[in-house]
Amino acid sequence: MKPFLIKLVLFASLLLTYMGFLYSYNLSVSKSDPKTDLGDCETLIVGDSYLMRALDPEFFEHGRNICQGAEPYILTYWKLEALLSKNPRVSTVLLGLAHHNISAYNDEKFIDPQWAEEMFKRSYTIGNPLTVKNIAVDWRTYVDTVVRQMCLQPKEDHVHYIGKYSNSRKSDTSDLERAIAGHFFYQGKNAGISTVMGSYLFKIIELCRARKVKIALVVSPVRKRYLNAIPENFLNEFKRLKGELSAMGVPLLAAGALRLNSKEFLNIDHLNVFGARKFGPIIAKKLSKL
Amino acid sequence: MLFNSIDFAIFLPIVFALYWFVFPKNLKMQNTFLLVVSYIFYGWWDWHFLWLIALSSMVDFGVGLGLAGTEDKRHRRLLLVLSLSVNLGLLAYFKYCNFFLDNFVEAFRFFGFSMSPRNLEIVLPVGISFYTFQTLSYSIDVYRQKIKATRDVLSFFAFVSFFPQLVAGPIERASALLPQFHRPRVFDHHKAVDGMRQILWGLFKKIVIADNCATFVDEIFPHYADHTGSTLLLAVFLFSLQIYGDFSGYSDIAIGTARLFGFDLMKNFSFPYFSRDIAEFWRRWHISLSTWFRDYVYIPLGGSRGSKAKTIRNIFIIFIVSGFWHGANWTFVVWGTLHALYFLPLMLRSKNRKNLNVVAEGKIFPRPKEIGQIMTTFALTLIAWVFFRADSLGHAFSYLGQVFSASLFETSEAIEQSLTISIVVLIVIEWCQRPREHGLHWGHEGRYRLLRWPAYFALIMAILLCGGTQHEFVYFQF
Repeated sequence: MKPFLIKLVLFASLLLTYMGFLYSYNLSVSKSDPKTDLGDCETLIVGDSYLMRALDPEFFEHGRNICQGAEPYILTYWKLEALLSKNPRVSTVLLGLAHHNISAYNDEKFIDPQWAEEMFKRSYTIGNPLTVKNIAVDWRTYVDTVVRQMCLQPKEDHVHYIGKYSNSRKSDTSDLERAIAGHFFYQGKNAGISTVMGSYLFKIIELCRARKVKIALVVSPVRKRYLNAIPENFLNEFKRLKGELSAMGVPLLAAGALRLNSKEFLNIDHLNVFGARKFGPIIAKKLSKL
Repeated sequence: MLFNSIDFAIFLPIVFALYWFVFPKNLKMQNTFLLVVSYIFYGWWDWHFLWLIALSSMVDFGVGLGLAGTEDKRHRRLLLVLSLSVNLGLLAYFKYCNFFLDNFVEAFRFFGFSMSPRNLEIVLPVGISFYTFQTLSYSIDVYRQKIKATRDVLSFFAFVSFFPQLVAGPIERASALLPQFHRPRVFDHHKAVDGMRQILWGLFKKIVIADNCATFVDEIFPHYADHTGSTLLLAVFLFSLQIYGDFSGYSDIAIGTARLFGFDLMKNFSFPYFSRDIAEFWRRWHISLSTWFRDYVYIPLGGSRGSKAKTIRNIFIIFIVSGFWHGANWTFVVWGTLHALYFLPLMLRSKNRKNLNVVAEGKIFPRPKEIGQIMTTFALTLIAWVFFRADSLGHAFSYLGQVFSASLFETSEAIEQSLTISIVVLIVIEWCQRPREHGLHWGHEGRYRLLRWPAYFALIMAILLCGGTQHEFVYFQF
């Protein structure tokens, strides 16, 4: 038995050493990835698909949009934590704020089979979901992702969390039910309000303030039908949250009097190219006045 | 619990450590422990069906005792009928009930009677075809007085439910496995090391080959009409590797795991795709099942000892039953029938035992004639695999029709380069190792010593890289 165990331990040690070496190598590569250098970016646009579609960085001097679809605030926090320290030129952060951002369906993104792997792939170099309190995490998929990305082969491409402005000329606003069900319901039931997402929103604000970076929250336009269909608990919480943010002195930027027709929407809750062309300059103007 | 899961990766070392360190010299405790962990292993999938294994074990243990206690022929026959009825009854209910019901309704519809019965929602318990056959072989062997009935209930229950081979074989004979539960087991270093290698090779075949082939096959088979004949041919080729990698991979992991606990299980696959004729293929493919049918169906029916007509009948029976064992669908019956048709000419010309040795033994490359024989045999199995994989007979025939169309000569869709490399690695290693027990079995301990560990590392890396979505083993459904 003893020789067998010695052989086994020796084999496992060599294997783990090799994997550890690969991990260290990949970690150093990921830290020095040129993608994390945002260059001359001064205004950083972060959030999910809402701002990914709505804010063309062209309208902002030295602007850069790094939004990604379905991004929960936890991921945005990790992104900013990783990027702000490396990019001291960033002086302003524009963060998306919408009713669905505080929905508890976001809490499921680290355990839901549809999302978990994608979230881990984006975040494995910047944050550990297992350390986040009050969210369920599919730890097997997480460990699997980390091992596969970091420990099996030398890789150059580890930064999967930097998105970009992306849009289309298409318009089809017939997806009201899909959008409402996807944002405010989970497994057929009202998803409820997420305390975790709320707390990470405030952590983002704290982070920016600690780094002396100006932060403004941007509410992008949605169709009225969509607004009317949002369950009441989300409307109430959103209203309360806006009040709290105002009291904290966090600017909230919205379209204001801008009137958009359905052809300026990609779908029920996202702007298309035409809508973004109108919305971007308004936000840029409001930002310059802050 | 799947062999290719994190659960099993945690379960196995714990069980191994407890087995050898906590109960090293107490055979009774070891057997009790194996019984408990085997039930946990099975219950991990669905504990509701544990009673089936317990019932099957109980009936056959009781039948064995009954047979040992009587010489009365009528009484003995009744006991055997009891064992057959319970085991085959369970199998018939859980596996074939809906099939018979559907065909019964179809038959009535053919004669103009309209019936619309409800389909019974029966869940097929994993591994039922395997453990019922294993326990059945015990009763038959005791009835034939080939083995003595055991009075050790614990060993018998552990024999039926032994976790490495419980859900997908190899289907062990009581005469080979049961005595191993009665003998004190001492840790054998070489056996354990070789067991680990066999597990590694099994995981490679399952995770790297079978699961990656499955991705392509599962995309092509249902949508065959949208693809060229060449792509469909490629899909059948990949399916042949999938089913081989899946099932022989499972067997390798099972045999390797059993060796870690001091048990020897029978070889279930012996590089079947290097066979030179169908008879050789069946001596190398799912050996535990084909020998089961040979010993308990074919030979009792008279085998090849009677007239030609009787031999032909027996061959068809054994192959059709073998096909039907795989699943309650006409596609499996046709698969079995095709193999009977392939086998028959060899049998009738007494050439079925021509290729008993290893192909190109002692040589690196086979002779051109052997290459031709191997390719022909493989092509025949490919045609049969279409029926095995298809959802229905119509599907299989349409698929084959599409394969043998003008588009067969068009360029096929490409498979990933990594899969191509993995397949080449599989074929080269299996070819080189064909006289041995498994892909990583080394005859002399000193052989390739310097190359071995890097090769194991490479295989582990490939397994970890490819081990994405956990696919169940195909044979779980049988």
